[in-house]
Amino acid sequence: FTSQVLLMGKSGSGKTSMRSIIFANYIARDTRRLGATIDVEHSHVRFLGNLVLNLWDCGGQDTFMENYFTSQRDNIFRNVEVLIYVFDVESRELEKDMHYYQSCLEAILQNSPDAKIFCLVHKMDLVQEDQRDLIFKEREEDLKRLSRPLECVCFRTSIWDETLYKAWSSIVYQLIPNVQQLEMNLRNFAQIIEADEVLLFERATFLVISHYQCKEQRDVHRFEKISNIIKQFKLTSFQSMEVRNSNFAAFIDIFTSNTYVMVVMSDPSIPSAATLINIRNARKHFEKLERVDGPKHSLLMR
Amino acid sequence: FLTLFSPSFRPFHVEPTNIVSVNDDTQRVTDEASAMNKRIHYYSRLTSPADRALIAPDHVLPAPDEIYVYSPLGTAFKVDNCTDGYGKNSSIVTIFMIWNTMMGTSILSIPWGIKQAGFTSGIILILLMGILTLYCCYRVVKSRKMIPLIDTSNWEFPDVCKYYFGSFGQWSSLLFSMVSLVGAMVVYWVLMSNFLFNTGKFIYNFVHDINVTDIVPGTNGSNKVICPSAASSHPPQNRSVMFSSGNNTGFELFEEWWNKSQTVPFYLIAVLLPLLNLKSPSFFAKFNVLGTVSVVYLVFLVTVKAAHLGIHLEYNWFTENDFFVPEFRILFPQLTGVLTLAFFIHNCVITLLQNNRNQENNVRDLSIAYFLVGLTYLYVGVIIFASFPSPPLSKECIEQNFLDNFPSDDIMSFVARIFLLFQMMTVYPLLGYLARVQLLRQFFGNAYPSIFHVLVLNVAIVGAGVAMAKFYPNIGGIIRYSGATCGLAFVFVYPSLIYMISLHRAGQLTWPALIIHIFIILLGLANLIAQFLL
Repeated sequence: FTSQVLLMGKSGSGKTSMRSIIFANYIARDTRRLGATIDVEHSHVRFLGNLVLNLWDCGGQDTFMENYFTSQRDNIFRNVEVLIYVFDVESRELEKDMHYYQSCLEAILQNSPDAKIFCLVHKMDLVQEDQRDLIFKEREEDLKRLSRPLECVCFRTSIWDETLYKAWSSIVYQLIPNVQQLEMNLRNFAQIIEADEVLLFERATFLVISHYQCKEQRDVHRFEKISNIIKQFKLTSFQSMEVRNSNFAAFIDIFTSNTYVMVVMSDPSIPSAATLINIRNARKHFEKLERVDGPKHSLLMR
Repeated sequence: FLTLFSPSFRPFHVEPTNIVSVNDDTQRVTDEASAMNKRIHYYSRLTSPADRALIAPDHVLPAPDEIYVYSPLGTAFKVDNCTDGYGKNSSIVTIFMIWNTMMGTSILSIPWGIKQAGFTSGIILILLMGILTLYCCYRVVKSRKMIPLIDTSNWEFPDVCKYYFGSFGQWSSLLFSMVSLVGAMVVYWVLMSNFLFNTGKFIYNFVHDINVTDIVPGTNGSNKVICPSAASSHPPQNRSVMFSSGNNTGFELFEEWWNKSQTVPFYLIAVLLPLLNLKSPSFFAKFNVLGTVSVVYLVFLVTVKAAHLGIHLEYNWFTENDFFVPEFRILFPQLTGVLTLAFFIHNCVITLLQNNRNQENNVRDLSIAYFLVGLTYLYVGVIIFASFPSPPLSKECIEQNFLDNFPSDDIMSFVARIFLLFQMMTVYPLLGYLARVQLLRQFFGNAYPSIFHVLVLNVAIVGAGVAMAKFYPNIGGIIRYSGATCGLAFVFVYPSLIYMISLHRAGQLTWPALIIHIFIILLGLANLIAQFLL
């Protein structure tokens, strides 16, 4: 009885690469050669507590897959919290893509009417820079119109710039319960320990859930960069990390069951032990916040 | 309990670009490039090496930075990037590129400089200054090699200054670089006004078939040489007398609206200010060849004129007479000031030599280039000076821009002026772009923060040019002041000081080296001070 996040889209639209990048999984190349992703075994990608990520190719397969998909439809679309639908911006079969999208929406309406819908217009790097806004706006209008009565939120993404990271961060942000309260507590925590910046990462993806900074930071790409750096360590498994030089000290550690925390102190004279003790104490407090809403509620946004 | 480091901890090296230091120096890598680097690094861990799925396609990788080189009064052009470290230019091409970059409008002031210093001392000074600036240039080229433990392969000389002198080195090299650029742009404006004026006058006279005799002393005959500055001491002002029946009032109206210092400098604004605001001047870099053509034509012009005028030399060692100047004059620092800028290439010599195919020939090729540059200057200067018709005119008449000594209806100098006018119009936006990039990047972190910033900067530079053209159009003066100033830093002080410091750090500083280089620094200082005193 786990809730799922569906990642769907036409075969070849980039879902497997996306999952690999966001969740730091090695890409399973074999599925690609088969021509379709058959996620029959549930992937073990869990995040935000009890959410499971499942990938499905939707549309464009041969008859066998088509039948399999149709017969399994109710199973596939049950207990869906979030549907993320990926469109390849370069696709030449816009009508067909929309058709498959709409049939997925029908299934959602029948089986999980409360699901949140996100549409990603992907591979935007293949579009010329000065055309991107225009093309995205067109697609967004079409998708919003076709999705009625359901509402969808659209993002334009590419794995070659920060848009993919930002889109997934927004999606995950919207899935966190009581996020404002979380931010307030984070701010208090940061101010008490006199940190320059405190970040809360989702544990599986290292997407930034919430952050507090006490002054302007120069590098706007720092969240994605940190995420990419840490995910490389995650591939070799790690638990915590301390980075320091003469100007700063940064601590990355497991925080709650769903999150990691990163604390940046610009006063390197404060001993590490002090900060680590503070983090440990704060941990208990934040765990309580999460537990209050319970595992089931942690996923519902009502 | 809490493990601070995971069991398989290995020290993780973070590139300096990613550490933000407290004094926040300008980074060598943009944020976007750094983020892309991390992204690619991470993606490569996600797949096996044989898999092509997450390999960055060409269109997402940032384009290499454009590199421009310039010599203040010479040429500016874009350097082609060589992807495999070293360049593919043969020695001849490298020598030509150095010669081409250095040669420029300072050639117009060399005869005047020789006149100010005296004929013999002028020749000696050209040779000595050439050798001195060549040695300092050699020091600049070698300066990177003396830095231990750091990869300096893409450093230019300002980066070396920053390494040795910290942010003072960075700011001062920016300041002196600005002096050379703005000084050059002001000289260009004055010269462009001059050439545009003379061109317009020639065309007007030609079209209206006017035979003009300027009331200025000049030679008679077909190869007329005039002495414009002598006229200013005569009661009637420098107006022309018309010898053809034409529309008197039309001509006067023309003279009123087409005036060298009052109106023409302003007309240039309409053409050049818009060009300065362009984001990328790479279009103008294509006109590089005009510089070479102009110089070659000038050499040709000088030879032809000398052939017609003959040689007029008389040796008076220390005394002055009506027509000749002494061989050694106290005003010689004015020549050294001009020569400092004429032989200036120290800000970009490293980049130019980088593309040399056989790097071990760098010093030899640099020396050959300097020799050729010196020869060109010497030839033009000596020939103009020697052939200047001295019995009717005095050598004192030689103008700071020797083309001014030829009347506006002289065809050969008309052609020379047109070439130079076009060449300067194409180099001017490039110099403006380089000034803008260096200044705005240093202050605002961005080469084009907004049209407003860029416009303010451009108006300031153009304003300086117009003001000079109106009130002080003496290019010899402007060249020697700005030359001595920026030369002080880049030619004399920094190379010598850096050499002495690096020797001292390596424990190899000897007394002769110390004395010689301190002497060089003192020469540079004396050069600058003498400009103001004499």
